[in-house]
Amino acid sequence: MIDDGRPIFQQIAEDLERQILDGTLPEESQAPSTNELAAFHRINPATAAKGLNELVASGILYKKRGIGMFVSTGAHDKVLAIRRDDFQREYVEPLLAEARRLGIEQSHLLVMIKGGRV
Amino acid sequence: MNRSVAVMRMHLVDRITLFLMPTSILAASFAINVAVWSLEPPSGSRTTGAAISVYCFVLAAAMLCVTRGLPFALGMGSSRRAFTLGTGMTGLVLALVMGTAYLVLNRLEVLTNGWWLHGAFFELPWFHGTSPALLWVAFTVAFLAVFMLGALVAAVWFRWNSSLLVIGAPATVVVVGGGAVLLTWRHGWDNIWHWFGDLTPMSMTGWLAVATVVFAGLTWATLRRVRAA
Amino acid sequence: MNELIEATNVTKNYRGVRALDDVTLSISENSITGLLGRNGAGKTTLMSLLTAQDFLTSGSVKVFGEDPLENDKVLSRMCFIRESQRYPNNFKVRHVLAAGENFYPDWDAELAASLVEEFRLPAGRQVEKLSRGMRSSVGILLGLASRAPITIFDEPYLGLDATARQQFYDVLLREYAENPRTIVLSTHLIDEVSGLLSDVLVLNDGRLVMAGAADDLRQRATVLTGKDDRVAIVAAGLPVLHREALGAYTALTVDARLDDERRALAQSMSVEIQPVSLQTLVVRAGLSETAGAADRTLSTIGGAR
Repeated sequence: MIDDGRPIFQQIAEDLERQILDGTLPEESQAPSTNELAAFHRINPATAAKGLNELVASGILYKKRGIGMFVSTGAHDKVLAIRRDDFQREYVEPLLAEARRLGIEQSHLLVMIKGGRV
Repeated sequence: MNRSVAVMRMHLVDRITLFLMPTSILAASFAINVAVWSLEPPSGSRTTGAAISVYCFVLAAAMLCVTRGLPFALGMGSSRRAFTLGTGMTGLVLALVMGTAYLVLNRLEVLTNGWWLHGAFFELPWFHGTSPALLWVAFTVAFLAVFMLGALVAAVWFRWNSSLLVIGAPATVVVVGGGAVLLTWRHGWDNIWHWFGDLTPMSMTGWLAVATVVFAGLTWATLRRVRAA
Repeated sequence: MNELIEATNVTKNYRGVRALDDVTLSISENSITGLLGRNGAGKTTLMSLLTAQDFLTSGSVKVFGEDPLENDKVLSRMCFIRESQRYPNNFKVRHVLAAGENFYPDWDAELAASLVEEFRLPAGRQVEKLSRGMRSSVGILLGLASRAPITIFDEPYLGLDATARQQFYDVLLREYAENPRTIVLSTHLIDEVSGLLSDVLVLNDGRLVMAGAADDLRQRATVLTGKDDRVAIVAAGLPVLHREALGAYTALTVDARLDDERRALAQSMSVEIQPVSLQTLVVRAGLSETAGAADRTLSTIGGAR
């Protein structure tokens, strides 16, 4: 689940975002603690904390003193918006680049995306 | 100080082996002597030096304390100073226990007239006329001296083991052999035998006390620059 | 963060062989630091010097701000378990536990007892007669139960199988989460432990060639794969760590993270971009310095700290 080529804290944050997006972690529910994340992924607790803090900084999680981290109201939409922004860079641009390399014309590409055969 | 106590408690943690071993060694050599005495006709000398067996045990125990205890104690965050002190304290405890045991057995031997067999195991003829108090000190100091000698030999071995075989062993042969040749040439042997002959339990204890201090000093001098690897 | 251990210009010679060469490093409080490198790189020597079990040729070591040599105050807060840790002759497992309790004021007897159970150690057996793996378990137990503020393990899992090693990682994390402290771990099994590490030190031939936060090192280098001339354009001006070629097809490891501009360039030129795992990065740093090119790039890595 964790790959070793990218910062682990980033992967932890992305993993939690995915859980918020698919409803595994509903809004206003409690997020896993640092130690729970560390034990689950077998990672350094400081790294897990950094992943959580990343999400606190972007307003997706918030802290309740003495209790833990919770998913903010509106976190789902926020994550969705971020992911949609990333979608073009992460998926569409590589797709277009590969299509160019293979000489697939844009009109053909559109047909493929709509599910038709070319 | 409490680091030295920790080292001492480490050495003494296996109390059973530490006190069972000498007891059984002693019991075995005692049993053999008693058997021999009861078989032999009651003529001739019934003096035996078998009581030295426990001194040999203490020598071996001291060597093991250093060679095996040192790498462990250093790993457990003990300084060389704490280790040396704690090991010396262990020697003192052992010497007190063994010395007291020897005195008790010596008194019993005298009371029972040599275990009813005229045997001389703990009460050598040489001791006659020595007070129990001095005897107790003599036994104890002798145990401590032997312990510190063992610790010193082991410390030297631990610090220079690889070069010792190459340089140390031949050097010892040269020094001891050279000394013997020198003594013979200067007719010194007679003096030495005289010196030994003149020793009394009191003077010997004094010399052993001096030796103990020298051994302890040399042990510290060796261990204070020892590296564990 | 607070630097608990500081080594400055540490050099160590053994009979004319330089085991450590001008090593300067620091280890911060409550970090889990991986000391990585090949056999003979100087890892054990470094750990022996940090714990004052060995003597410096030159340089200085400070632990808790003081020289650890013969310093009971410092040493009593350190525990160093060697790869082939020796135990007093007739010590049984339970004797080791009793001795450990004497040495460490914060000794956790409960943890010790639970680990005896978890590692299935025979409490009444002589340690020196246990199997290699079981002796390793005794060392791990001793180090963890000591609760020493600085606990140092030199290759702690010799002879342990994969399952037992996972057990060690789990126990280590659990204990660390409950009682944070500074742990130094030397190891070859970088892939297995890399997630546990917060910091990494890499030694090669007695020199420190890489140091930093594990997550920083993870995003530090990149592999570019493609046709050699195009790879060269994308990599222009970047420090090269390693090059492998198959005809015109080249895999180039560069010591840099690509910015968006280069990423776009790579995409347009059909050059594939891959991250470099910590393990691969360490292997690259630990490669023999016979190759002149590698030597130069290695020194740039070391110089970055």
